[in-house]
Amino acid sequence: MSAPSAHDVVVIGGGVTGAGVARDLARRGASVLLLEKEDYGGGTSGSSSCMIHGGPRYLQFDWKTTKLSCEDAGKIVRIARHMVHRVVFLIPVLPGDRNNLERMETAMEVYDRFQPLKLSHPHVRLNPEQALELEPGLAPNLLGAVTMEEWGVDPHRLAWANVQDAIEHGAQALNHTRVTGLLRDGARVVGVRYRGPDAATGEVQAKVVVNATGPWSEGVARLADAVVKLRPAKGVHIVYDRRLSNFAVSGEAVDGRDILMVPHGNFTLAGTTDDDFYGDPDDLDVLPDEVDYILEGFDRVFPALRQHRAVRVTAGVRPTLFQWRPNEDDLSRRYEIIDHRKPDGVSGLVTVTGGKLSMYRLMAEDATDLIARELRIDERCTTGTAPLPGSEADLEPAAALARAHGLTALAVARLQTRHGCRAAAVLDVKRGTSGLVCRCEPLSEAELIWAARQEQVLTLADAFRRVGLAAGPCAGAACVERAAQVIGRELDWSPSQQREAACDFIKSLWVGRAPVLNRRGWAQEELSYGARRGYR
Amino acid sequence: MADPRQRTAALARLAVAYARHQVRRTIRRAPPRGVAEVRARYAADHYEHLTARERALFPEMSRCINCGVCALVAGRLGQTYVPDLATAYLRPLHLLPATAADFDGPASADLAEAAAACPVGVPLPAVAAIVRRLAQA
Repeated sequence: MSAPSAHDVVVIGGGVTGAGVARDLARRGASVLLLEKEDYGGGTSGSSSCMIHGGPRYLQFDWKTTKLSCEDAGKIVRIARHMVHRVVFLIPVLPGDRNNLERMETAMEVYDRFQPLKLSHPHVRLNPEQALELEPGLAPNLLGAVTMEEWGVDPHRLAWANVQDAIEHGAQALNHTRVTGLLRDGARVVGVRYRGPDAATGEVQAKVVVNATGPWSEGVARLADAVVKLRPAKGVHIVYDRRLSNFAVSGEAVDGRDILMVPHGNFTLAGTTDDDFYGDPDDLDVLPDEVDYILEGFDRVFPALRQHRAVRVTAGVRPTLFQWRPNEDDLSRRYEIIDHRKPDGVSGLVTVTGGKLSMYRLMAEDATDLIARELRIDERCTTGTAPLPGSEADLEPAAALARAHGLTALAVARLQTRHGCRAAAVLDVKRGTSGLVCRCEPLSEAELIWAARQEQVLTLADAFRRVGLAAGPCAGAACVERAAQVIGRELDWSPSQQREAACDFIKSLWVGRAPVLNRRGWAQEELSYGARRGYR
Repeated sequence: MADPRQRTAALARLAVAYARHQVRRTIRRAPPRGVAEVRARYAADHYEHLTARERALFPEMSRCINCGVCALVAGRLGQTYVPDLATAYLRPLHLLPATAADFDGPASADLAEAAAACPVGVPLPAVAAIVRRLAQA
């Protein structure tokens, strides 16, 4: 635990927005320290719908937002090309839907004007037979459908890639380091007090402190007697262990809200809920009602969903800006950069909040422009054009890399979605003798070692976020102990620490699994429990 | 919510777009561009994976509880362990075309026997057929 005692800027919050601010500042030459209380992308970013989208919904409110969102999505797609994938939606129109097929196609015709900004194609209109031919799981009574393109991304990797690039440009970043107080000099914030993973405490001076803590930003601002007013909303997704459909599918929930089922890399997300949230964002439960709400919506549009096996749920809190009256779904996803000097008389503190994953880079650029003026930095933003780590070059063929390292081509292809053109360097840490630790993902020993050495993986849950440990159907049943050994060897854990780490991880996975276990899931739990008799 | 003036402007523009759309549909009743266009456009992304018949079997293929019994009964399919077919390969279907090399070599697996031994009834021969079809696509 070592943080130099003075920086130009301390960024609090290692979600994708805070990481983006740290990256932008570091690339402009500022001295930056990023502090994250848990793990990078582990809060709101990691429980999002994993989409970089332009936002056709905003066409009803403000076309400028759609244009800005599409422009920035295009930049993210270009700088993060190894970790994004095209998501093609089939939007079916069913009897009784809010929009008929003509209105839906009109919306897509308008959205088509913005699609080239993010390297996407225009829509295609389909009659019912054609839609069912392309996506056999759709409800057979559909009246027609249109296609729409967006992009998918692993938000944990996106957050880490921003942190990594910030570090490569001189920033310092610490996860599992909680800010416990703000240092004040009269009305000015001049630094932070923190507590690290080893419980050691410290103080860091800074010219500017950035509050990029999403749903926690009200509390962080209060540390300086400043005010941030949010209307937080809870969102729940159900995660299935594989791609359940050929295309992404959207539908209407019982209250008319849009719900999405999106096949990502090797899993499918179904959701989301959107409910006002008044609790502690650190203590999120998923209620059976929330799972039923999502499933009920898909019963109407993709009835087969209930037959599939869900492996876990995710829950997060959106830091939506406060507004009185609108329903949750109608709340604007706009963002705000607050220099607390004006509204609160507190200088040296900037809050960046609101927004959505697709706009993280733009939010970071706007916040950094403000801070750069304060610090008299003239460098311009380069985050919209400079590739993120791993996207600097084309990928090697997976089969060739697999042969050279004695792994399966599938393991290497998955590795490349996380590390891009740097995959060979990752595999070189255990050249030719790597083997697989987590077979479902599949995750190699080399990648896990790399994550512990180079990617600040300090717990097994960090490895879940960074490299997908135990994210597959076995939910750790077949890999947790081995992973604890591999990471423990790198981090000097004793055997009892390894066992404790495995127990903690299994318990944390259970919280997400319990709400959705079906008969097979329970059978697997019993098998896993039997194999681990004596775990407490 | 957006500025009321912006919202009014947005809705007015959508109304104009809707009127244009209706006129276009009336004048030029072009048939939907359809399946062929979607298939051609996304062929490189490998987004259309499963036939209706394969899709119907999919829930059964998701049953694996990682007990490892099939690994005892059956060997490998090329370089690939039989248990990995359902738990690893049958997930990122769009990546399978890059994995043909994983199925090179002798296929010693007796998939029917492995399926018979499976305690949860995963149809392993069907799983292997889909994975190999997509890998060789």
